[in-house]
Amino acid sequence: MREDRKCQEEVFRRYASKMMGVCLRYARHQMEAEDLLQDAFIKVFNNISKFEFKGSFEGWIRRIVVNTSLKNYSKKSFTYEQIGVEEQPENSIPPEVYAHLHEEELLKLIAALPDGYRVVFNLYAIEGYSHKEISVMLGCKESTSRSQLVKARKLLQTQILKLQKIAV
Amino acid sequence: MSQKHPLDDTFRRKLRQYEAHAPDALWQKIDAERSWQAKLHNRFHYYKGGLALVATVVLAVGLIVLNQDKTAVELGFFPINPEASTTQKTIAVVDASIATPSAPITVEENNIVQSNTSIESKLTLQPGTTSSATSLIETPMAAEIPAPNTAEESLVTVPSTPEISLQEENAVVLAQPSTTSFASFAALPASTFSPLETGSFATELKCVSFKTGKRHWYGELSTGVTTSMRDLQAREAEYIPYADGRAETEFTQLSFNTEARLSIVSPSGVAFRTGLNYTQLNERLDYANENERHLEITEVQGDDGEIISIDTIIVVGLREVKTQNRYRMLDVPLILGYELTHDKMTFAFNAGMYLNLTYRQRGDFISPIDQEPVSFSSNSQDAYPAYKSQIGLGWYGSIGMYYKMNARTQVYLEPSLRMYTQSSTIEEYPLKQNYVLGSLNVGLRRVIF
Repeated sequence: MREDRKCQEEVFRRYASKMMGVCLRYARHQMEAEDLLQDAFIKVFNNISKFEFKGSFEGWIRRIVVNTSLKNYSKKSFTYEQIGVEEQPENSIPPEVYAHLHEEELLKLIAALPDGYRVVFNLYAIEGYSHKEISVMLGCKESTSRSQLVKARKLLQTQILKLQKIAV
Repeated sequence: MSQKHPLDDTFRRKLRQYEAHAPDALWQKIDAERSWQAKLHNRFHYYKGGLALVATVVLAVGLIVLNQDKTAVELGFFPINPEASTTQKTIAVVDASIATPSAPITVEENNIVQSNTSIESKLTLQPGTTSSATSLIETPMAAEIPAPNTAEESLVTVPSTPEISLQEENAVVLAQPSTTSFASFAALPASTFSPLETGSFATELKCVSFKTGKRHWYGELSTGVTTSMRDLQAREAEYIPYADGRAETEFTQLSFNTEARLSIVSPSGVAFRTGLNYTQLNERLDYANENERHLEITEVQGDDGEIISIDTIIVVGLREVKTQNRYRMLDVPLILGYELTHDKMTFAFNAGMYLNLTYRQRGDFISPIDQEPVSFSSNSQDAYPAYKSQIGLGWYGSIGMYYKMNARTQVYLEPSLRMYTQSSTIEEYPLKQNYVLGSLNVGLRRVIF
């Protein structure tokens, strides 16, 4: 399959949509997500012989996509001025507010997060990794992962509130 | 776990299996990229054949050169006056001494072979032709030898009978058919060969020099640090500020290289080396823009902590991009050297060329268009096209210092300098980028056979 173009295309067609969803969560915008997806699928095809049929093929591809995204993140770091979100109390928004949000809105909220927040939130909240695992993956301290998650949540809540107010 | 938090739970539930349309053009890009990689793979195979041919030719030439050192030891190494040791003289003496028209002496074989300081000379005399009273084989004392005589003249006179006249240790044998054999000169008394007494030998003696003629094949493996000296030059004057911009935002870092090579060293010390060298040049992009604009949303809270309004503000702040840039090179060294050995130390002086097989890049630099960071990675479709995939030949020079640990193993230190004369950038890119690399390698070499 490594050199079978038709098989590769079939694999791409089957999993591209799901993986594009993953990439959109890690990327800042559509273009970056497409780049990530492209890099990830090239890696998939280059390393397809290494797939050992342990676990699902989709899970294996997903791991490659996530790792490609993390590598892209670690390559660049952006430092912005600190924004005043620490003072805001957590859980100030009733949970039922979240339920009305659509997937596209949630993606936009995630995309607006700073890189560090976005990556940690994705890995912890959506992928289900523990802080210990995240610290290993990102090469940072567990405490850093925790604080990034808290900040991400706060920022997301702020943005959700803003959306709610606009809707009202 | 994340599910306990309602926010996490909502995001997880809605986005975990979220699907989004991937553009159709993306497959074409992936396919093209894969094809490009396949092309590179094929190109490598293509060049591999050519390189193998070049390497074979160079190796063959090297071996021919080295083989010239493996000739038999010459007579000139022996401490005999060359003028006095020719075959013709020996024959002439025999002719003058014993040959008559009716009884010629036939020289069947006349060899002078230097082997463990011995000379053998075989003469065949026809029966019945050795009746002259003067035809005796003698080995006269050195004092009796006239000055202009050769070594052979002093030793050979024609015997009157097949009997042999021996003097002291000389083992001269004459049999039917008459064969004269001169035994080892080393067995003769020292006085016999004294140039002072006989005048038969050259006044300047050459030392006996018996070389083994053995070539050594070494496997060498080394690694070391590399510092790169980069030269950025604008192809046109209008790009000088851009060249300055790149110089200000990019910094060279300590790099490394590792090399595996085969060295063939002749007995005379001439060496030919080839193998594979991998070099990774590290650089860092340190870009900062103090006027980066970023949208932020903040809440305005009342005295009791309630949210009374939300402000959307634009934060103008510092944007930093720090990227680790890497340039990877795979080269075939083709080196000629000369080695001098003293006791346990060997010093090697090398010069040659490095033939670049691949040149790959990964990282960011500021774009010549908008001075914003842009990728130049060779594996990215969207990268700014700037670099070549091969950078041709690099000139090389080094000094190796080897220390013999045991009969087969040596450790070595090798400072070297490598200079690529061609620019690593393509013609369309506004800057030329050349490298001079200085390396300090430590390595191990072992005798293969």
